[in-house]
Amino acid sequence: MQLSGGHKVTRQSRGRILVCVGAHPKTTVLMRAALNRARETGEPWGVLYVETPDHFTSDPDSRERVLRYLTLARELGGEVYHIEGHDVLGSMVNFIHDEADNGRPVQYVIIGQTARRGLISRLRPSLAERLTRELRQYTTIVHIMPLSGRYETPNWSERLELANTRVREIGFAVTSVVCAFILAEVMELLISDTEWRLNVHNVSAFFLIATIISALRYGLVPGLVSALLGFSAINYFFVPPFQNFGINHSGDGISLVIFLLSAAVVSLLGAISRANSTALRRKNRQSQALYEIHRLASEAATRPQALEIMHRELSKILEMNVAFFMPPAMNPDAIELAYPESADLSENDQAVLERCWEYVRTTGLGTSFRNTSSWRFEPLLTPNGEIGVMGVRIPGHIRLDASFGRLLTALADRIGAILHRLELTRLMSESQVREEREKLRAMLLSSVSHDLKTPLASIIGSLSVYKRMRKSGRLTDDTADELADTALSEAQRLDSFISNILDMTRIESGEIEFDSEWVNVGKPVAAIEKRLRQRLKQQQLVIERPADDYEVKMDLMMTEQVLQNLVDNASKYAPPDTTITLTLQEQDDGFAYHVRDEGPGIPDDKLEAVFDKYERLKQSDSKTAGTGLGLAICKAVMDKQRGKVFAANHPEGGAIFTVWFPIYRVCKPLIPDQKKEDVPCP
Amino acid sequence: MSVRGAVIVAIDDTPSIRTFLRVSLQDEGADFHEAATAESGLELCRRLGPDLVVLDLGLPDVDGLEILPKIKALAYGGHKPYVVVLTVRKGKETISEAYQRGADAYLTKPFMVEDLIEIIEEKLAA
Repeated sequence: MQLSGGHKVTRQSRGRILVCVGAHPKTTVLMRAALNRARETGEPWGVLYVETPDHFTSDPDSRERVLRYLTLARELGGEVYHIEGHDVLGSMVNFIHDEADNGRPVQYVIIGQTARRGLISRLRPSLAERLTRELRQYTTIVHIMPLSGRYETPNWSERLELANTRVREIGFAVTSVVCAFILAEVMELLISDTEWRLNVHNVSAFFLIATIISALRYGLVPGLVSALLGFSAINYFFVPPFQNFGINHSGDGISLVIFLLSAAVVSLLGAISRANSTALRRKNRQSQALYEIHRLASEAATRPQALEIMHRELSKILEMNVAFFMPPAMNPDAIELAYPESADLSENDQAVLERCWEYVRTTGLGTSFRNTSSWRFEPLLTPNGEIGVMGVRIPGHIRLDASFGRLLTALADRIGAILHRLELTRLMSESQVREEREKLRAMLLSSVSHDLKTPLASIIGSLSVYKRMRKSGRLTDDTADELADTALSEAQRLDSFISNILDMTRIESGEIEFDSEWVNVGKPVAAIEKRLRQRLKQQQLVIERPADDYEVKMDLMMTEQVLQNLVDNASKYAPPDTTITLTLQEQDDGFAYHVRDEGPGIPDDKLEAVFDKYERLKQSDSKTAGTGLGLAICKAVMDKQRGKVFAANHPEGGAIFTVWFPIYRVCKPLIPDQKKEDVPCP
Repeated sequence: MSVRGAVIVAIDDTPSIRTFLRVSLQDEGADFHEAATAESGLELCRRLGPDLVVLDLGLPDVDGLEILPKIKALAYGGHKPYVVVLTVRKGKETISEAYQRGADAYLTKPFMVEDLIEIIEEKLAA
């Protein structure tokens, strides 16, 4: 049957096709018709679902079906219009009217008509017929399609959700009636007998209040339970014959019936208001979820962190099990659980998940690929393609609403975007690290060339002067000595620089093996003392030794190198005619060497940086002569020996470097101490 | 003008380089002065009004390129000092920048002292 309302106008170039969907099991027929027409005419199509308060009292199967149709429509390329209203017809007409006003006229409406049963039903015009009538003034064509098969309206037990009524709720109803009864009894005790007899029918008000509270709090069933119990209590205790279920006066009977009716109506109203408020609350929470998820996940810096946050928040907001699936690193085609560590997936669920991943489409509950799974899987998409799947397990008792599918899709969109952003951030920081490394390499090169070239320049320069003066015969012995000394000391400097670079490389690459032997703490100092004193032309070296003989587990050669580097470093920064003090002492459950100078000290923000091998690079290429690697080598050596080296500023001025070893013993103990391994030195 | 009697200032933070410059240029008869930092070098130039300045670029306080124009701006008796840049830097940009800022010659380290003296003689003779 095809009806066209009003006068026909020439078809507009760009109309739209709209399918009105409901919970009827054959609704797919309507969508198929719309799809076919859309393919023929090239017009866009969409589905319209009007959600009435009834939606929340209908059975779970119908709700799931509606969700499935809406998901299917989206998958088939249709728009989904999901509107809310009390009156289906009015909402539909308003929608079509609004769309026409907004310049998106609906040219073609497809609506189903079910088989009629019963006299009243036959006499009353169907929704389709009423819609046709309402749309008369538009050019819209209404296509009514018969839907075969009966649409089972949900039965009472389903509507009331008896199965979901809990003992606690019934208990509450019973308690409320008991309270009403106690109140009535208290009233009887408080007022005079005559007055009580006159007012006895008013006790029904207490019981009515009990019913209202139960219905508002827990819905229809507890409300009705409370109403029936109240009715019985009034009949038994407060209506003559007392302590009996009979009724003596017709007036009492009327009051009781009125009570029962009003209590039932109150229960019904309470249940509806409760269902509405529950639905509203859930909607609020869900729309909040979209906002929250974005805000929270933007705090995450890495993908696992983001998944953890989103999992936690989504589970809380949706009150459902949520899981994220990603392909394993080794096999990008497979899909496996990424967060949390375990999820309750049956073989069926796994198949549904894999289908979602493979076909990049929503699968599971409320979709055409359901396969009895209680999960619903949404692909997570980024501009670079599918990166994972979000799974939500929908518990049986949850009242799904039709917008749930949209919410999940929107969530999946957001999550995809968040994961994409994190991926970009990661790639960017990787390239930044690369760039930084490149820069360091260039700096290292320029620094090395400076440090190599400067001593070479002195050597070559000095020797060329020597030769030139020698040739001219003007070279005195003093000048010859001066030039030779200059060349020699620069050659030594070059040598120590090259050794430092080689040492650093060998230590870092693990080429040098470290000994760990008991060594007397004086030994590394004694070995370098002479060498140091020769070098320290401008400063004085003072060595403070401990009273006891200590031994430390160390590599002797490398420790000598560390101490030498530290004293060299001190001599570079300390002014002439000052003292450099090398102190050996027990410290912090270990043994320490301190090298203190009387120089300017180290800026506080550089105390750690001085050990960084790149630190010198960041300065101009001409700071105090030296390799810049001496302290970095100290650090590398001490790390390998499981000790520490650190810098501080002495309160009285000057820098103080500490080399600390964790394992030590006293050879000749003065004070017994269990912590130390007190043994006599060999 | 020859090297003999010329006032030459060397600004370089490496003592050994200053040493051999001093020995060789004094031997050539120059009136040689030296400084280890840009600031003290500039001060020395202001005071002496040298005929020629040997300038290192990597100085500890201020980069040599920064003070180069300031040295060239000093004029005593109608002539500006010649500036010979002496550095380990050999990048093309640095070299052209040094010339832009007024350098008269650019010599990269290490170098033979004959080369430097040759350049100095050439500049002073001009």
